[in-house]
Amino acid sequence: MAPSIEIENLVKVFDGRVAALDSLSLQVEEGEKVALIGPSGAGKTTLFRLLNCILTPTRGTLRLQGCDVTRLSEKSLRELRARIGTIYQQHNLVPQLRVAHNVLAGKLGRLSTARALWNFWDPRPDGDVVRALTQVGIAGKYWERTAALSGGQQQRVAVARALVQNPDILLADEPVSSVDPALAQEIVSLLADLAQEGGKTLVVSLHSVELALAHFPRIVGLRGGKLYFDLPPDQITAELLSGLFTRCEAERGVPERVLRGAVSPVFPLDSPYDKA
Amino acid sequence: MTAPNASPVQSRPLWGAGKTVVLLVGAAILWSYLGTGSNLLLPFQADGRHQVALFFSQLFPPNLSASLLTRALRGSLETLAVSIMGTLLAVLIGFPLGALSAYTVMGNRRFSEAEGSSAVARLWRRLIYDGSTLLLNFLRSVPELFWALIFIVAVGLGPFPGVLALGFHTGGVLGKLYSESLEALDSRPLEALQATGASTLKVFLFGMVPLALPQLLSYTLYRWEVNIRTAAVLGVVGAGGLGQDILVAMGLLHYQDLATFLIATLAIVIAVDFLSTFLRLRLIPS
Repeated sequence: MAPSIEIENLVKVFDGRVAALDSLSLQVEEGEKVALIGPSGAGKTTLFRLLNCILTPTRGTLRLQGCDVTRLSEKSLRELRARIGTIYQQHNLVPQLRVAHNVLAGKLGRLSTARALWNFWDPRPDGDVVRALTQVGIAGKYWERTAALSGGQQQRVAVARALVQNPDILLADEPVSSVDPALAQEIVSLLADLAQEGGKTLVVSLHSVELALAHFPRIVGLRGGKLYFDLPPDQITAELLSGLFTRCEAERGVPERVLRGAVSPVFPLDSPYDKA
Repeated sequence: MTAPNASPVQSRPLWGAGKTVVLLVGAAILWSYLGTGSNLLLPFQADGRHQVALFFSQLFPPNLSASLLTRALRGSLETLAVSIMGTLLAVLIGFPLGALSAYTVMGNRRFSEAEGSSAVARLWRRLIYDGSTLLLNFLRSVPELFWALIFIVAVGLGPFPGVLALGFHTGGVLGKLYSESLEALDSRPLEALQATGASTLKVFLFGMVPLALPQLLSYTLYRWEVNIRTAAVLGVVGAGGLGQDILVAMGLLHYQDLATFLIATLAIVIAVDFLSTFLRLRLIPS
């Protein structure tokens, strides 16, 4: 069985200047649960955007479930994306749509266009969507407009969308940075349980080191686009953490959103992914 | 490196681009003023005042006889119908062409760098993109009045050539506005949809359209407001509605009939503005 994620000497350079990832090598087996920690600008978001096949590597190899992502046709790329679910920090739902429709969007990779249109048109509740919304605790918001929900509720909608997609590999880029600590705890354990039950590979980046250490058997520290450590939580010392989070001279002056990979190389964004 | 007492502020250049632009614009305005024989004071001078007063005195009182009011009502409704059908045709032309000429829909690098499409597919997309952009440009560059003259020759006098004329020109305008809206969307929700494995068509239908819809509706309503005025003018070249009634009344020097038709035009334009504002408030959440 090929590993879920195989990264060898991966380099990602934006605009030919800024290396967001610098010779990163990492391997994640199927069913593994990994927490990614590191300072702002460490390259976490860039790594996620490479892992869900939105960006392409500048150099190096990236294999997902044994497929080299740079060699796929348009169709197989879409099929691969359908097997990888992503939960983002924020702002990744369509606010004008109802909650039901945003969650249904998780199925877009698998449904035919006609079937998808019919599901959006048909007002009967969809079983998978109801189940997913119940799991994240907001079943009552089924027909609500997404824009009318609070930040925390929107984050649960995003989790529900990933549940409906039912991917083999679940990626979550700071999924709890916009919710209160109690809900953060809840969402992280929900993700960990789901991965456990379904035998899914889970990679989560977390701002909160405590959450990472409490819920994940493997912690990867990323700094300046490089692997800083890759250890089980009981081997992570205070020195390692302070080394990870101290900003080095070289990083100063580079716009943070470029380092974070928050700025799309195709579209300049008005606002970075999060201003926190 | 600099002398110790040199000021760090450089002196302002005596002649810059800004001054050149001001001078050129000023020259263009002066040239246009002389070239058009403009005399902004004319209507207020003794002779001009007299002519204006004479014209207005002939308009009063407006002819409010039942038969003329019926004609004015019929003309107003025809103009309204032309504006609605013309705008609808414009949406039918502008939406598909606008979508095909948006680089976020047709571009080879949309939200993701990873596309995996073949060179032939990329070439086709490029051709469709350029073709629809060019077509929209052409539709937009020909004024409604010219389109109306062409269609009157093609399909005869009456409101139908008016509908076609509005549809073709406004289709070009709306297509451009739609494509700009589709290009200016927040890419993050779209990237998320694409990451679920959705095809471009699905990202378009379930992401781009709902995200852009408020703006698309707003542009469409605004163009409808413009079109009600244009529909009245198009009647003057024979494309039906109030314009045709106005032309006939002026030709026959029936100024009191003309007054009624002018009031009807004003009423219908104001009514459409109100209706459009109402729809905007109801349909488009702020």
